[in-house]
Amino acid sequence: MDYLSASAAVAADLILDFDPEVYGIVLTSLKVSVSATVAASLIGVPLALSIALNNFWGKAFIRLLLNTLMALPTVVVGLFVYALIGRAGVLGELGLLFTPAGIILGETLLALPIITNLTLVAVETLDPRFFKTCRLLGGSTARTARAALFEARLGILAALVAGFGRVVAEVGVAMILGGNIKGFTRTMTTAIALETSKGEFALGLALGALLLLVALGVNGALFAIRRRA
Amino acid sequence: MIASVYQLRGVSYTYEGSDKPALDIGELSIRGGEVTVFTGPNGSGKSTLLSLLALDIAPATGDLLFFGERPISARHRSRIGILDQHPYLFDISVRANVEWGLKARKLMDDMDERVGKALSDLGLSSYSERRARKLSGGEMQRVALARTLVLNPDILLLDEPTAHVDASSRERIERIVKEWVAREGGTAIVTTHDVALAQRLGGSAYRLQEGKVSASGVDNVFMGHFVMGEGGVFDTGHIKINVAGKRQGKAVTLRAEEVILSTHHLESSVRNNLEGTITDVSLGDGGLLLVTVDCGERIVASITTSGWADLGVSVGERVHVSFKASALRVVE
Repeated sequence: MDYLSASAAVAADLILDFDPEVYGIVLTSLKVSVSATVAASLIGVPLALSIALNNFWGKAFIRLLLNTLMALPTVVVGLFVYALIGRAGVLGELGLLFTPAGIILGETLLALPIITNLTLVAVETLDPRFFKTCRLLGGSTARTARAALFEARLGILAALVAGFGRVVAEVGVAMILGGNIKGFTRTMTTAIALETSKGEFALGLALGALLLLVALGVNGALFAIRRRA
Repeated sequence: MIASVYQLRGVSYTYEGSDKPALDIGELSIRGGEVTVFTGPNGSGKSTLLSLLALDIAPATGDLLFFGERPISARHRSRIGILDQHPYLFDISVRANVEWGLKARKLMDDMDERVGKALSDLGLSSYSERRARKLSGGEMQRVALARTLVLNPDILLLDEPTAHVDASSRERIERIVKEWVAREGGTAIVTTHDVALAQRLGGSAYRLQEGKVSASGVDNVFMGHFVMGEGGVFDTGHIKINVAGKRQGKAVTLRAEEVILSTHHLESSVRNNLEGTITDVSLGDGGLLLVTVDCGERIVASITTSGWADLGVSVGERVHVSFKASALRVVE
């Protein structure tokens, strides 16, 4: 117990003294997580809108698939992307393995089903009168999609936050594709795993606290936006 | 004026899982350039009829001709404007809501002018930059009407347009609809349970009952209140009417065929006896004449041509008007 409280005290010092190693890791984590969330949003939101606003054969299956992929284990994604960008992989020549770009690619795939599915739900659960009104006013699918993006903005924002929460807190993809290289691909979660395995709790605790702070900040911002709306 | 905007022949519509048609119309023709009102209680088929006229659903049986044409396409639908009982407004400004349809249809040449006029007509100029969802029910209804009228539809379908709005919005909506019909030669089709609204809007009136349409709705609607302490006396502000039964409501209705005309005071048990001047005689359904008598309130009586001949009176002459207290129906 003494050991734990002593570690907590050291962790507090690391945070309050703005330890360059700690904040360097936080910055790397934020960079890859935000990039992956943005990339997944740029693909997932338009994809969800096109699924929601069009009727086609196999739509129900796509919904089922998206729901299933939301529970995709991070190590499975890591393994799959490793096979793609590893030396022997199809994209091996790009040299993405053990780089932040490699983690971003893996985390994008991880966030994509979450953002797509939750955006799809947000749009499909809009007031049915919304779709009728757009149709009566002569709105094309593209124009209806733009309006839906705005009308369902809170639900979509929540989808983005959920996607970000998933990638910032995951360890499998970052570990397998990033390699936990100090000062380069070491993220908050891979650093915590490493430090814990070494029995060094202080740095792990400091990073854990900062990870929670990031989550609190993002969710607090969402909460504030909801209240304003 | 276009003779017939809609022609329905043998049209029926049955919802899935139901064995009884929600709508079953033998023959119905809706004239252009005027207001047509369908009155009826909840579940009488008003919404189904409106969906059919909006070309949203196709009849299960029979023919529906729109401007004499069939089949129905998006081109036809663009001629129709719809005002719902609970319209959906986008969560943007009032002006942006009114502009939405114009932008969607790429009608942006004189957009500012058209939008400005629509907002002004509906008394919304000072609200133009406010968020539409923050307005009251009546104001929101007016925004929806402005958004519909700015598209210059040929047909305006209104579903209980004033059911949930304040008195001033109601008056403005009714006035705008009537003006639009008179000025633009448009066709307004209204469904409502409010017989008083039907009376105020004028035009052709039909009654819907269990999916069937019958010609001529209620002919006389009197607005007013029941007099406290005088059981069953309804005061319109101009005349007092004896009403049997229910004694709470803001309007009473009286069908034209329940009104008896005579040249002298009738000695009978009929409790409502009035006297007035004949102001109009017109041909009604089934060869009957509709005689309007001004007794302080205008009262329409339905009478056969031979009955009219026997009376031996004409427009401008005095006549006695009688009807039973039990002939009046109270509207909540």
